[in-house]
Amino acid sequence: MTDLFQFLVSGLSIGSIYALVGLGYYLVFISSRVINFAHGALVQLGGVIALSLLVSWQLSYASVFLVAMFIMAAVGILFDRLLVGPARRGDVLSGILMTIGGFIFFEQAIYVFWTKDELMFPSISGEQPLDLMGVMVVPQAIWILGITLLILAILWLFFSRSLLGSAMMAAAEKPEAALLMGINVRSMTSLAWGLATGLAAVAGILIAPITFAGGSLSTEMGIKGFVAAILGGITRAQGVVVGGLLLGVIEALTTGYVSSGWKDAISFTLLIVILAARPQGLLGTTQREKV
Amino acid sequence: MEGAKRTAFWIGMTFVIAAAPFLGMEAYTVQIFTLAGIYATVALGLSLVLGNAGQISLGQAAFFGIGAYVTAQLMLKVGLSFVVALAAGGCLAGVVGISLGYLALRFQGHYLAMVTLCFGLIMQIFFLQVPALTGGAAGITDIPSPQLFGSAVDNSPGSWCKTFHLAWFLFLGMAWFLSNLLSLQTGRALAALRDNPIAAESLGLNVSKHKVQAFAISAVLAGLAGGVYCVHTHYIGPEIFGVGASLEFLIMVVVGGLGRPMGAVAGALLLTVIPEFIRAYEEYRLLIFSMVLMAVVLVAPEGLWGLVTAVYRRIKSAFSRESETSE
Repeated sequence: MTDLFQFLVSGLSIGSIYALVGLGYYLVFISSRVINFAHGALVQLGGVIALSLLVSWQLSYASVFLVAMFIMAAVGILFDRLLVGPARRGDVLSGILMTIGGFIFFEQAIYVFWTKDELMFPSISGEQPLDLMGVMVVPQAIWILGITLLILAILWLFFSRSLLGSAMMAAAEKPEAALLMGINVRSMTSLAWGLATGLAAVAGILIAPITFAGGSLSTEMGIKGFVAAILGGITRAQGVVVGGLLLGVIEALTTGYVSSGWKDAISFTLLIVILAARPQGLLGTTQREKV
Repeated sequence: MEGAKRTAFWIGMTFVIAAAPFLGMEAYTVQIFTLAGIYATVALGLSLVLGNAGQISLGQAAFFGIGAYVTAQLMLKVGLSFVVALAAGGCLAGVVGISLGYLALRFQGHYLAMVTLCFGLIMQIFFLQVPALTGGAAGITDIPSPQLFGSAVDNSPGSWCKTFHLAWFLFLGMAWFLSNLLSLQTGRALAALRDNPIAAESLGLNVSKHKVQAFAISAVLAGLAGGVYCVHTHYIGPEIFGVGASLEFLIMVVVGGLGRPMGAVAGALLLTVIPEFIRAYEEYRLLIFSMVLMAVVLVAPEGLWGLVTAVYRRIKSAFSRESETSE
């Protein structure tokens, strides 16, 4: 029974990361109808930038979060404005190829400008596990859960209570109507990209002490976040969060009870099965295009 | 091209390939060009899926791997001859390709890209986690060279039939097969499928059949190329057949030029031969190619070979106009 709780806690904390990454896919998708294949590499880029800020620049942990978020938001906005934006005005394939190009670029940038090795990343408050009624929990897991909850609360307030958040949703859902209402749709799209890659930075910093910082996790992070996004239907934020947590728990249980070598194969198979059964996501609706 | 000119082109290419390694190329150069020929075959298949059928596949390296593993193991464990083992490898890759093709019918665009990417990752895990079949992380070593009339087919200076020939004749044969296939109804059907799948379907075109066919052919090509690869390098391991390789094949096809055999050749040569000249910058290789990929998507969607033919046509029309005015 203790084992089960142990797996649940680690699953939920990793799942929160997947949820943050998945929300990045969601924000980009609703605002620009593109799946950003570069997203996994951007998560890892956020991690290594934060490591440099922490170790070489000696910034405090809290300011590292802020600075890395701003840098990654800028990277995301520039990536959309300069490259993905012009490409996605062509056909779907150009958009896909462009973000794949971005994936290779950001992953290679980590290898070239940092290192090919897997870098150690210090935890927020040490490695000493806490004993919660017999269940051993690393403090980083608590931090991950807490910070994710905080971010989700802020995002919820932003989208449901603020004018800017409503404007962003309006621009995503009905661009033409939003334009007529005086909303600058282009800025809103950039805002969505900035938020998405800013969240990617947070996810990258939070996961790094548990795994490591470096480029080699890019593909894995990218796919796990995408699985989270489609598990609950990529057009619903709540669904994405639930999907992320679900995936984290499934993975932790597989690692615990089956084998860690096949852990990734299971989430990849899950993705194919879900997409095959419900190509529009679990909560999405089917649309037939007219000629 | 009209009939006679076409025949002359294919015969000419045959002679070029047969003679090339004996025209004073260094042994090392022959090795590099052999690798380029192997990659060009994979790129040719991907070019069919991506350029002619408009379907994206990010798992091409998995088929390449299947072909390589099957060929190597049948030669080593069962003792089959290279040709039989190669055919078996191509067939198995084709069968898996048909399955993926049927699965791919359910997806479009982004989702298809993700699904094929996942397929590639799952296959890589399979290559790593089933050591009984694949040798696991250590891979398979000491894969023998094929034998032809009692002499080994490899790139050593003495051999008259080289792996170079194997690689490029495979490419040439497949390019010939595809160009015939595409000049028939299949080519037009695939173009219709790419440009407007819904209209194509409503005009009575069997969209499913052609999609699956494109996937199957590309898988067979990658599988056969994998078989040649394993006897060329004599070693295979799971790290060779990962997502990185699939993405490199994608770069080759898009940068070279989609939907044309010469584009596949251009892309394969660019990614294999050019880096040999700039070895000092080896670590920047993929960073540079990713930028080239993004630039091509933005400014030259037809790829580099498309640029070359466009410039050639410009020059040709400029000259013919000049000769018209002078007459």
